[in-house]
Amino acid sequence: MIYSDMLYFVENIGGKGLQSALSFKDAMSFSYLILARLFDRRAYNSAVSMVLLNQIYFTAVQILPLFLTAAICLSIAFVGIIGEYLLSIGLFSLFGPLLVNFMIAEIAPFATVLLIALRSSSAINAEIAVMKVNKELNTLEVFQIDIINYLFLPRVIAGIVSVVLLTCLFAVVIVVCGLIYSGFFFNMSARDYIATLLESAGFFDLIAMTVKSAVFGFFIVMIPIRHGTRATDELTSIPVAVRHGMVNVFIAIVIIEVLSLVVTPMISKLI
Amino acid sequence: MKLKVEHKVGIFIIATVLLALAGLAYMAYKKGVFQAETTYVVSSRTGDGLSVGMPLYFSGFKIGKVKELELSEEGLVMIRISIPDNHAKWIRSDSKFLLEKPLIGAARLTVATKNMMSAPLSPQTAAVLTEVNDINDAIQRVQPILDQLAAITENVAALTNRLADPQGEMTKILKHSEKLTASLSARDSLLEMALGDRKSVRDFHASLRNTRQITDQVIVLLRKTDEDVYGKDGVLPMVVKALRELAANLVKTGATLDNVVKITSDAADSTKDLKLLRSDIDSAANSLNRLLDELNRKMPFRTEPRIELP
Amino acid sequence: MRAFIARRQRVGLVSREAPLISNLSVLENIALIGQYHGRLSRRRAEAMAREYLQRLGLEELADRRNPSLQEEQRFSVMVLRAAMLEDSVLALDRPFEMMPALGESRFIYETIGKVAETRRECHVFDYFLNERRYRRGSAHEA
Repeated sequence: MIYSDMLYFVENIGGKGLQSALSFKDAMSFSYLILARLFDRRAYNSAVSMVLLNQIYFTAVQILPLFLTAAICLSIAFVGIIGEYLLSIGLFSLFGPLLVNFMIAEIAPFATVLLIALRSSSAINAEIAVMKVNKELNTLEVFQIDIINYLFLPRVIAGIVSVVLLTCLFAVVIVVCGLIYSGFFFNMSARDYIATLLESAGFFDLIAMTVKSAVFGFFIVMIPIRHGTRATDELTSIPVAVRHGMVNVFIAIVIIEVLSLVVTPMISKLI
Repeated sequence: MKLKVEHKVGIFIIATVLLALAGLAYMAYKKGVFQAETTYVVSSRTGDGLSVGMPLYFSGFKIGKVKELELSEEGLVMIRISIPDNHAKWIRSDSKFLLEKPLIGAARLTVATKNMMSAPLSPQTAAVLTEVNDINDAIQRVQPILDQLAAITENVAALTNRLADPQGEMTKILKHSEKLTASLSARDSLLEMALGDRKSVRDFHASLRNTRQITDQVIVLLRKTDEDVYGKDGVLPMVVKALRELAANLVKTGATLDNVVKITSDAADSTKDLKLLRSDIDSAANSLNRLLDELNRKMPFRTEPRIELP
Repeated sequence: MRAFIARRQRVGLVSREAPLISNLSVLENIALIGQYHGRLSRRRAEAMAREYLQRLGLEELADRRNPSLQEEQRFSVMVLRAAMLEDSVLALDRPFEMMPALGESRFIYETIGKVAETRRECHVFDYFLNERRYRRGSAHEA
């Protein structure tokens, strides 16, 4: 009895492991498919541009007021906490490095991707699932419109562009908020502040931040699309698809963040 | 006017990209990316502590960085240091390139120029890198201290050996202390310890009690004496009174004698013996008065005479 | 019908199985085909689509989306979309199922007539029990 239970347990774990591995392989081959199309000129036409334009509008422009408010609040809070703490322990010389290496390189992409994932990933996931249930994907197939080119590619590009641009915007907000905060509360002149930032900032950090944002942007759109297409013909499959998609999006965000923390210093050393 | 989606997206992309590019350009400008650089060559016996990208400091300021490290045909390490043209003026023919290896922390490449008027260093000339090793310096300075420390340690070892010796002085002292504390703990009091036995302590206590009784009796006796001597009906007031009366009587006798002298002066001229008598009486009265004053001074009369014991 | 579609290079299908894209307007749905296959610019494709709509007198539907259309309007738009596919045959899949309230086929023929250019093939696929509804001839006639 105990033996059969144990066997079942092991079998269960094995099944889950295989399933995860297969799912990961699927995701990777799907990513490859989309990446390959990214660089295929024939994939682009005015219809794709239209979708791309609309998607950037929904993902990056519509969210701007909320995004800027959140960015300003987070920046002021973090700059304040970091500055005050460094002052209290007498290590204010680390203000610049922390602002660049922690706030701009880590917090800006992470907070941006979280906001975009909350708003747009869920929307894209639901949209694709609804299209699947409504047989609209079938329509595209019938009219020989490539689903990857028309539906997925512009969304993925929009995701990458939006996350990268919004991260840059977040970084600018951090720099400006830091300037105002340190001027008011730490009696730091703008000249000193900029000198501190420039001393700590390296081009590699900024490139790493941009690449990380692009990877975030790619996955937080690719994963919901993939899960959206897994919906069946039933309406009830929509919430299930969205739930799976969003859980996987958050897992992907955490994995990318951790990987970036491991890989970036290694590449930095190599360079 | 309502903006079209295309316009909004266009404005957003252009504004953000421009902002990011402006920031990058400013950073690149401030970091001297657009500045021309001169590469100097410095040779070193070893590449230990050197790495590509390592900054070069002049008076504490970063003025350049190590661009390349390579091994020459002679086995020397050739360090190529790139310095932006605006900092190249600090590098002169007599500049000394130093590799400072501090006791704690990473090695630091610095350049020091004593004579700023000397000729600029030619990029073709290979300067020699001097190593300043804090670790070796520190070891040399610490060596005498370490020797002294060794001697001290030996002494301490000898001391501890003597302390640990079962026949040594310390053991003896400890044994005596043990005895002393043992006998102390066996006695009831310090007095017993001083006197040696319990009987003497008891006698001492008895004599103390007797002394106290005697003192009490003396106090009672003294009170009574005080009453008898200085009291209203005491001895002293009565003596003083009698003496005053005697003195008064003597003065009266003097006057009577004066009269007798006057009456008898005519009758008898040779009354020298009487005058003599008179002066004798006078001196007697005076001496009595003096005695009285003396008494008064020494034992002043008080309304409530009291004897205070210390 | 599947075999028919498989045999042909391009088939402009009008079917419940190929509905209008719900997050695009009527105009965009029609223009999409021109944009994608004709590689037309958006402006050009939309102008063409508007012209087609005008031909059917449906220009007021241009900005509306699929759910707000009536059955006949939806059918017309789907025919227009199918007609945008150049060098293709038109295939109508069970049109009466798309418009259950429709009694006879005159509306279908009129719509096709207005949209389809000369010499364009048009095939209608339906159940035999609906045969009598197509009074003007066989189900394979344009």
